[in-house]
Amino acid sequence: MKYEPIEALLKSASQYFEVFFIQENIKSPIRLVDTRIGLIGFLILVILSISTFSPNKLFFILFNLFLLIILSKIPVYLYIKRVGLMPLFIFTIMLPQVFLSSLEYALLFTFRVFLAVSFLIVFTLTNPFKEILNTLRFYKIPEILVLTLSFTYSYTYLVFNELYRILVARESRRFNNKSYRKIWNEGGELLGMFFIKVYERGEDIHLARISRGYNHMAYQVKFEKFNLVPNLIFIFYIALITVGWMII
Amino acid sequence: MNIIEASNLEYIYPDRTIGIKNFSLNIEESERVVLLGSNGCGKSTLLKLFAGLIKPMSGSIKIFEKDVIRENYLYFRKNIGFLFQNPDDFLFNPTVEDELLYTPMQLGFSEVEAKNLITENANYFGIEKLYEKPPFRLSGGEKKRVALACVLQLNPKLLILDEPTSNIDGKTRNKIIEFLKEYKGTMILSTHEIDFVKKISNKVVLLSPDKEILKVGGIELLEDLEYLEAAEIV
Repeated sequence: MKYEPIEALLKSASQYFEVFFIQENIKSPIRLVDTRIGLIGFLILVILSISTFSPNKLFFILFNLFLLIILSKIPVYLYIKRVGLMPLFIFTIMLPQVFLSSLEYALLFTFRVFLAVSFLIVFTLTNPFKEILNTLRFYKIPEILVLTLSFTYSYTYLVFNELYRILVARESRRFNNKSYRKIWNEGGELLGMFFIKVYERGEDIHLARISRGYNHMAYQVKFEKFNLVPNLIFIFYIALITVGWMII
Repeated sequence: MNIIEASNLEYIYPDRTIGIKNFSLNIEESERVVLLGSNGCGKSTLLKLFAGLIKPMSGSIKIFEKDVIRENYLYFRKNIGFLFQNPDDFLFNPTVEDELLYTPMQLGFSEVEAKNLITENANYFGIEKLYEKPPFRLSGGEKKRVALACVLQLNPKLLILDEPTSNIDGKTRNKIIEFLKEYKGTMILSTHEIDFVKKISNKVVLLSPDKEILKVGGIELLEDLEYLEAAEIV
């Protein structure tokens, strides 16, 4: 049927983004690294990824990304599931650049963003979300931004879960093929209903938050015990990648 | 002591839908009140009003003999436990442990104090093995148990439950009913299932589909078919 590819893509996208942030319980050696040091280290890797168009440098970073995934003991399927649609999504945005610049530029740009996002995924997979929030607070990021990130975590699931449910409900009640015009109209209705439902559920979540003592702050926890050796190894590893990147 | 004093309450939603109208009721300490009515008769709206989460458009309400004003907010939050109908709306933290720690930490407990506090309830509801799981991945029954354990963290004086037994398996249902029987504080719950109400309540408030009080009485009201039919419960 006409609408199937679009709706299938929307359904996959909503399922993908629904769990994009969700914290996984991975017993990774990276957990031994203090989140404050981890954040800086991963940010350096992100900066290295987006600061070059040299394919050699990018492949060097890719090699280290895979090495980090293996060393972190992150299940490969989980990484692939998280990163899944990202390259396609980025490349779609970059499509005009194929005509405006070149295919090579569009591919390299996609590659850079894919690497940067991958490092952020590895970081969020190996660190508890509340410690990430704590780390941001430690680096004096304004509380409103920390709070926004904390809200984003809970609302991301809600938003995409709602979209998925609407799509499935629509699909279960459709019996015949329709014209493109009708599909377009229904798409508008879907979008309207989606916003209303998300707004209503958002209100309920906010009331639940208030009923549980929400005081305009994301609560703070203590950092886990600082282990010197794993932190030194991590810093050395990041330094090695940086030097390697500069030499290539 | 009156836990709730509601007089001529009226609540209208922003889209002009009437939530509740002409509602007056007093609830005394240790009463176990059940709000019975059909879907959409205003039960959830009333519970939110009783918890001080929303304010009435007209009429007055006092909770623990205090007005619903910002200054009393902390007192209400420490003394009222509110269980939402849909646990998906209620659980929003990364892990079950974070969910359990949320209320005590928000109310100023230290991390150590909060962790000590959550253990007992977690054991009672059999959720200690779920600590590291994201709440989104739990089954319906598990979510309900986690939500209830969260609500009970601070031993609230007033427990408000919105359809606590909806969409759960028999085992969880029995566990919740068993807990509610033992609970000693004041309790207000809404439901449209009348089979378990007799076991746990001593006061029944029947709501009409017009979003008004139909009848207030003891559990003998559950035998009155005329009223139950008027409330569209049977």
